[in-house]
Amino acid sequence: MSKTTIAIIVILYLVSIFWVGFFGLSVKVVDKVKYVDEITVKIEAEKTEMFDIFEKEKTEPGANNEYELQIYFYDEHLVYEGDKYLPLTILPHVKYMSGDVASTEEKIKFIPDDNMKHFQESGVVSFDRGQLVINDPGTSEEAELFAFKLTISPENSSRNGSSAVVWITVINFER
Amino acid sequence: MEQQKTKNGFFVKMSKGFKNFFLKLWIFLKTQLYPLVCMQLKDKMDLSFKTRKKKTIFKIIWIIVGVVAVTAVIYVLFLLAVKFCIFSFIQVFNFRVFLILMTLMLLLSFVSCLTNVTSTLYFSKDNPVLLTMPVKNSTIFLSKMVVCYVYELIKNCSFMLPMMIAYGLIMGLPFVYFLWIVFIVAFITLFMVVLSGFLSIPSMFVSIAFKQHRGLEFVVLAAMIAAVAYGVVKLILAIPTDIDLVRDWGQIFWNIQDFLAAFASIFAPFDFLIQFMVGTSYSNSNFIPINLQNFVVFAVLVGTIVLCLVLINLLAKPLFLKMASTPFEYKRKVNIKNKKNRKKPTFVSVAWGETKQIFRTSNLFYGILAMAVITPILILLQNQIFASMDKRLSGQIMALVFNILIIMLLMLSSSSNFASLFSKEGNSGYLTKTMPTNPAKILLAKPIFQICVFSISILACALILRAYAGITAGQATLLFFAMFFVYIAHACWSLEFDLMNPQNRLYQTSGKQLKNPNESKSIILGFVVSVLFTFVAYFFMGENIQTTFVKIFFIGLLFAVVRIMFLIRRIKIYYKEK
Repeated sequence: MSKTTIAIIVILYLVSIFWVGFFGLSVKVVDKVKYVDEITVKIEAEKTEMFDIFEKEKTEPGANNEYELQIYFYDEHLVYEGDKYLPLTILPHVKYMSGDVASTEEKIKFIPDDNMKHFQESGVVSFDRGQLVINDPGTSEEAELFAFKLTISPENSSRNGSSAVVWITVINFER
Repeated sequence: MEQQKTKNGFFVKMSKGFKNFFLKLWIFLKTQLYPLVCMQLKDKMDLSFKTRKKKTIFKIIWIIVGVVAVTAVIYVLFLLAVKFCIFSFIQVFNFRVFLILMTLMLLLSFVSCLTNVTSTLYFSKDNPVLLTMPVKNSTIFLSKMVVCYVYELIKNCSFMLPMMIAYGLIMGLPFVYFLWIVFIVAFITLFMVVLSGFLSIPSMFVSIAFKQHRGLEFVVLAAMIAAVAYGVVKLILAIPTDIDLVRDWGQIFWNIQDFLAAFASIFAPFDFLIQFMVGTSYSNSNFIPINLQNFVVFAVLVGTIVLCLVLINLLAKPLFLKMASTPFEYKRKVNIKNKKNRKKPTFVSVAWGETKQIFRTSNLFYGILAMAVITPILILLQNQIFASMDKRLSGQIMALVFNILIIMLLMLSSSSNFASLFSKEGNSGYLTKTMPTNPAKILLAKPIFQICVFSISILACALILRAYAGITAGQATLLFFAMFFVYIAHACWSLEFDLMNPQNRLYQTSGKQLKNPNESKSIILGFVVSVLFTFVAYFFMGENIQTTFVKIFFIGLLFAVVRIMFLIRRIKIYYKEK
């Protein structure tokens, strides 16, 4: 079989997958307003010693789920890929009353507080699609311990108390 | 004064000695090694462009465009990975991904190099001719190694170099890096060729063992093919049917990181080698080619090259000369046992003879086997991907129709060699006319082995469709027969092309023909028939999916019967006694 023939078949093979994926998928009619049942947060990282996460007790029924996340910016936890940094992923899981679940960026909003925005601008913290990177905060006194808040809220949700709040503290005593 | 004179005399003698040495070396390179290398390279590569200046310029430009195009494609892929942070948290190209790509490339390149060196040194047909040349035997051996080196260098410059250039561009490495990698590619190629030169000795013994015991070759290869096919099928089935990259990205990202880290730890020697090759590492993206670790790697590589050269000189060179001068010693031992001659029907006898011939022609046999195994695997992969999609009814029909299209394209394209089946026999093909039997029985028995193998492949595809496409066993059976009949029809049509426009003379004189018009026609016909058959199936499915399979079964059957009738009629006319 010649190279041209193989190339044409490979192209058709790929086209067939894209074609069915594009034109053959089922169409769903969805209600724009979705009622959130529960939103929980999980953390994924290379080592479990890199962080601790605690769920705070709810002050009142129907209030937001709140978490306290402590990140240990210690040398043994850092990744040395070009620069030194500490990566971890915040994995929200939304359960709707309809039974649907979501944990995608398109369906969930991550809202940083002013403190987090400040750290993002200064380059100490970067955050994208649930992936949190703590870059080297330096050796100044204020870099030893700093904190910020991240609110995770599903889009199209209809009631209060349907968000999760993560209070993040970065501990950098070793620096 | 006298001391000064003696000193001057010593230096004059030394400089004369050096001059003589380099002069002799130059004469040796120009008059002996260079012509030998060029002569052998001409057999391996198309160097006809060298005769004309315009052609040479065009060829050089074409090579540069090719390298630039490959580099650009790789660069774009790397850039996308960086932009979307697929392999890294920060916008940096993960060194470990580059490590995997380079490791695979080096391993494949080494296997190809070892095969090439073994065949060039010990099994090349030009060896006895080269030994008659008025040069030393060691010069011939050296020329063979140089030919392998040049050939491998060209190959590595086509793929390895563009990848390394793309890596340098994506990492923003300094200009020195791009000069460094040119040296590195040449050095690594030398390492691979020299190592292959040494390992070619056991490789040659394995090849000879296979040549002497074809049964062993078939068992080993069958086991390897079965193992690879099993592994691939397992991998395909491991693809989750409910996969949502966006939804599960957080989890998938960490799985990728785990895999990358595990790979880097298992292939640690390659990690050191690649770090030396590109002067960067996972933890350091600055170009630092000279450090203690890289120096140790370089020393190990140089040491291996020197050791291999010594071993080649001691072992491979004498073996090469022995093989080149007395090839008959390694030829297959044929144990002829007298068997009682049993009379078989003409059709069975010819079919059995053709089957034995295919088994003895390695390239043809492995080609048929590979196609027969790959087709169901590709269909399985396609269906596993389709299964992960939440399709509507028209989507399910589209999936089934595309499956039929791919099966038909693969099967019909691979049966294009039927369009040269009779012609390949050269002038002996005309002997069929002299045989005192019905020529149709002889001619139709020739493609029977390939048809049987591919019918098993079509059956496997039909079983996969039964499992994935939501069709009943009866529908799958009808679909199998429909596809099989179309395959038979196309095979008969291709045989007819060869019958009506025989190329025996060309095959007789050239041995093989690069562009057979009948094969080209057969491939085009295969595409047309596949598309038409698929379109007809899609058209019927749109009307009523339940009756579609019956309709396409009868269409296939009718098509096959018509083409078989036409072929038999042509055979009768062409082979008619005048």
